[in-house]
Amino acid sequence: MSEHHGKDWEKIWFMVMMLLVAIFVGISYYSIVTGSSATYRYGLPLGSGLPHPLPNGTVVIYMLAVQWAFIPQNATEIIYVNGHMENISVTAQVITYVNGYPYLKVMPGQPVVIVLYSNNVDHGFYIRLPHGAQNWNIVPGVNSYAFFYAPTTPGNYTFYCSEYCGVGHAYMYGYLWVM
Amino acid sequence: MVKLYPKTSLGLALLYTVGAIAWLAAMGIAALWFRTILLNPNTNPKVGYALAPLYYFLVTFHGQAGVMIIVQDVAFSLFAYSLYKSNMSTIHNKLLTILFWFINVPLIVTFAGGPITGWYMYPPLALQSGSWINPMFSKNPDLIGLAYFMMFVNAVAVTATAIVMFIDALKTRPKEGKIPIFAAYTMMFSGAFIFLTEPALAACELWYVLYFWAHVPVNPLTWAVLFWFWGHPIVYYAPFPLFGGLYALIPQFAGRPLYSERWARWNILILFTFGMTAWVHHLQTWPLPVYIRAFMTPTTLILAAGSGLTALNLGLTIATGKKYDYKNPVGFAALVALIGFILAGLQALINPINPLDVLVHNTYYIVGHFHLMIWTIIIVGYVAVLLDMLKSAMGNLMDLSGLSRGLIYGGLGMWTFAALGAGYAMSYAGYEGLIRRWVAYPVKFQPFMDAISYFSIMMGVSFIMYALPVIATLLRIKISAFWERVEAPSVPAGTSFTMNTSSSGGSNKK
Repeated sequence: MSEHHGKDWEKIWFMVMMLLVAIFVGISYYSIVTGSSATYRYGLPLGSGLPHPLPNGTVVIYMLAVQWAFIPQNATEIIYVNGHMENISVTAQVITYVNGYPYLKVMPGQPVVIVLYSNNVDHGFYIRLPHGAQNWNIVPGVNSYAFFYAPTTPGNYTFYCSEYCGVGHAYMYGYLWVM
Repeated sequence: MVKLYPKTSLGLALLYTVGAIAWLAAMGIAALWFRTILLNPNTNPKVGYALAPLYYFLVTFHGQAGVMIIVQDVAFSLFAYSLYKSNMSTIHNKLLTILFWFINVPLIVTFAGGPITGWYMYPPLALQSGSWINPMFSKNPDLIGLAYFMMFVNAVAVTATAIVMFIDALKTRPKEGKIPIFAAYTMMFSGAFIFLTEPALAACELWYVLYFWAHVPVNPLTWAVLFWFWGHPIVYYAPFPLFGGLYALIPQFAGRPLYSERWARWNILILFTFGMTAWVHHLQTWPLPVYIRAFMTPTTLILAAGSGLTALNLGLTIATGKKYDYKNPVGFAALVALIGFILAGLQALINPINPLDVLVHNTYYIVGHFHLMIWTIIIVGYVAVLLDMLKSAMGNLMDLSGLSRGLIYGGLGMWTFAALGAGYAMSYAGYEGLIRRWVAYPVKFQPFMDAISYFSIMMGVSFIMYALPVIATLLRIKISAFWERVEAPSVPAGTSFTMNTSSSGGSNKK
């Protein structure tokens, strides 16, 4: 430190820096708690962040990740009858394949839960929606959960494997088909 | 008499430099090779599956050579040179030379097997048979175990080198006064930081060896957490010691002492502590408890603040100093490294914020960010230190020739321009949804891939430009073309204020 600067200034600027850090940390935590991002609004892996109870009309899709494909196993829709939750199988209506790639047919704005699991290696699940991204890693033996509302604009939205899983990694994808 | 090993700290620093440059050239060629593959989106799966093993081998080789060899070579080169500059020295030069070979050679065995695991080699993928070209390796579990054992040897050698150099530095530290700032940074970050974190990698690799040789099961989540305890700190092995190098060099060319040496020394504590706790941001989208993933925000932000403080300290040194001597190649490279570091750091501002990080996690955004950091602070910053190192090796009566200066100014300028272009193109593509490690990609990303590849070729050409005088000096080829005798010792604008260097100090060291 040269003679032109008092030692206090070094401390003051250092404290200003740490204050800026505290502000950024506060913003980050506030946005997690209040849910200002699509990924963090509800979805934290381990299922703890899923809304309780799940909204009426939520489609729950069980998605197996293998080398190298997403294989939706089955789908149910949650409806409430006199306050009791019912699981209605909608596998035939929701899951279809076109040219060998899975399509998940959902309605605009419909709440969606995708239960993600792998029976072999680490995979990822990434889908870029108009209101944010869903981005999860899938680790063998541990379920990951994606919860989001389907876009309100009809169309196809591609989901990809986002974690390198072998030579077929780039061809591991499917579509969310908003009807 | 053949010199079997360097007898001085400076010689040792140059030896590590040779290792780094050799591997850098090889991994750079690999990068240019796979960039040519990526010029085509490979939307036809038949084509993609045929190319994939080669592509993923090149990606794996590129990454592993970088993080397991080059970074360590650079870190130890800086360590040895900082000791030389600070009137300290390495003592166990023979042992360090042996360890140098154990760092640089074993992975050749691993690469001969054509691994396609990716450099992060997550299980269970990395435990499956898979090879680019060598079926013998991919089918034989004992040989795969041998490949991981060679990586284990490399990690043990890195740890041992850090310990030995740290002890040597302690033994030769000044009897009075503080350790000069350059050596203080390298002791902490090329020394203690490495020997505290590199064992995590050694443990990961040994776990794999035991899987193949003794059927020990591997837990995927535990392995990944252990791996990133090394995998994140590794990114600081080179840049943090380089902070020390820039703290030493920039004041010389700014003509004033470092703006705040106290900031620089406080920063060691911040960077050291939080550099080791920021690993969790690689597992941001993994099924880990929420509180662990939330922990990444403060740790990464404090670390970012420490880096920002470095840039501020150096920037204020330049701004409040006399006219900065950027006409000196060392001063020029140091300035370009600092500017590049700031521009590369801007990209990272969204990454510590959890809700924003998930938008770009596992995408090319991250690839763009860390490559830009490597291309600026590590490569250009290291060139600054290396030119200073070569000047020390050539003697104070020698100066870079006009040809060398032209190659260095032109090469570094073009390199930085192309690096910024490639880095920001990568990050923009990542923000748009381009996922990492794809041999095939949606056609809409082709313009990005083209731009990245062309910028990369530009970087390859510029690397040859500025590496030419360096390599020629190291190999003593046509040395008179690259160095010229000057009338008097060239004294930089102001003597070193931060280090007890002297022109004669280095010559009589061990």
